Amino acid sequence: MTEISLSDDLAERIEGRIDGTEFDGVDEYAEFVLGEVLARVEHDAAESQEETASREQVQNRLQSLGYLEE
Amino acid sequence: MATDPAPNLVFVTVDSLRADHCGYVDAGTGPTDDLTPTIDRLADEGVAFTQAVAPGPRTPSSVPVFFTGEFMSDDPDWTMADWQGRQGRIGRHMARFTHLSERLQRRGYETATFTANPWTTRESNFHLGFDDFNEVSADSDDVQSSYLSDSTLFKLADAGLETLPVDPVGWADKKEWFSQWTGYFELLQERLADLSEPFFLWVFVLDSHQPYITPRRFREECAAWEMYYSILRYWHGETADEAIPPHARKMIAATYRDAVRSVDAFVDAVHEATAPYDPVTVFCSDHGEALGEHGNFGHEQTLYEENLRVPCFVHGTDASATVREQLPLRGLPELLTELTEPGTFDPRRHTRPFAVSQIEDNRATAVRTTRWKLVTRQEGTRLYDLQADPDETADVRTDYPAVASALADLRDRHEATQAEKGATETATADLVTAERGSL
Repeated sequence: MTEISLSDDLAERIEGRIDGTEFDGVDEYAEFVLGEVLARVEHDAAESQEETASREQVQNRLQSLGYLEE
Repeated sequence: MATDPAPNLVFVTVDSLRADHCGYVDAGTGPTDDLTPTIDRLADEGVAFTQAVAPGPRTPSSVPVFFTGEFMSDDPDWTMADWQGRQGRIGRHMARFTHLSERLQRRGYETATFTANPWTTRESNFHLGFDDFNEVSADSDDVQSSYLSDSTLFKLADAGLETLPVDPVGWADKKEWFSQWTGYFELLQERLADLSEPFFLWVFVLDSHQPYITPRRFREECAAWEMYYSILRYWHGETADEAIPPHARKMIAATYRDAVRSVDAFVDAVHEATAPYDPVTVFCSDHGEALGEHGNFGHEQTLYEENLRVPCFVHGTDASATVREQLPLRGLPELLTELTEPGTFDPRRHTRPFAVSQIEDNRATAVRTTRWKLVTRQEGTRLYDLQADPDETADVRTDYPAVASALADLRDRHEATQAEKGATETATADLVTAERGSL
């Protein structure tokens, strides 16, 4: 584990946001937000989804397994 | 002092396998104790979780969560009626986090998968983090369709049954029904031999998913005609919105049990094939399956035990235990990551007194303990006493108001957390979009 320091002001603002949530503390919130930002940047999300099968093929697969009844 | 090398990891996920059809889960008290001798043996030798809980009742609400450790957000760009929107939402979720296979890849693992479920494809970004991604389907570019199954009927369909003048049942459009591990296992073994160590191998099999078409050698209760009759009777009931008659219900349950026998044989085959690599194996199903309970068959958008309670075991570590506390599958990324460091696995570090599950559109939420379950839907809230009423028939909120209030508070905390994570998701997306625009 690596420790980092946050300003008191930033820590207080985070504490205000996590009141009433499942976040255990400022550390967990900061870890979540930084992890999300990095994953986004690294994945370049808008370009990562690939299309390999045709629309009809995928639709048939999902339909045959009962996933398109909604 | 030298440290032990990181072990190979094999993660077996079975679609739609009920916990109570695995003998070890209820140990002598379940209705079907003899279907899974291999699963029971491996669970007995390793760490057996008897209260594992899926984060959702279907693959789209479960697997993306236990791959990332996070529930999907209330993304506005999709509806349940739009399957491409549903697929896109999963893809955005998978790209939003550093998920399981990526974590292991970063730790030096060569990562490979064979996945047969159509929600876990490249289109939904499940390929991220895999060095070798093999989608098993009739239309896959990774695995020739002839490997999907060794069923004769499938081979007819695959050979061009659709070109024949008569295909009254429409088998040609239902090739996924025949997805059987026996078809592609040889291929899996070949790829396994090519992997460098340490490796992470994820195999997601569809064999116990509807309609439970099972190779003859694993069928002990159903003849082929009974198996196909139960499929067609079920399908007719679904499309015509008719109740399934008692004789067909029994037949469907029997075909499902035969499918579970096939799954157990698969686990045995994987165990034998991977034994030379001395792996740690994690086994679970993604959700359960209804066999007529609460008027349902299969896996509808409900949060009952038959759909949420799943089997799970860890085999191949120094640890051996039966763990009766709850294991939310949502925590699997942490559990599997911990397994990369020999000697550190503590099963109870991953158990939780409370487990949250949600349906795909987040419009129903369950908060579960080993005794209680509070289910909140738009129509209202119900509290079930799982010990006194395992069939979940009676709402006991008025009898146990303090329990209902405590679980409602946990639900509210979960929703507040999801709202905050939704806010950071929006902000992060805007940030990345702005950065791209400035380049």
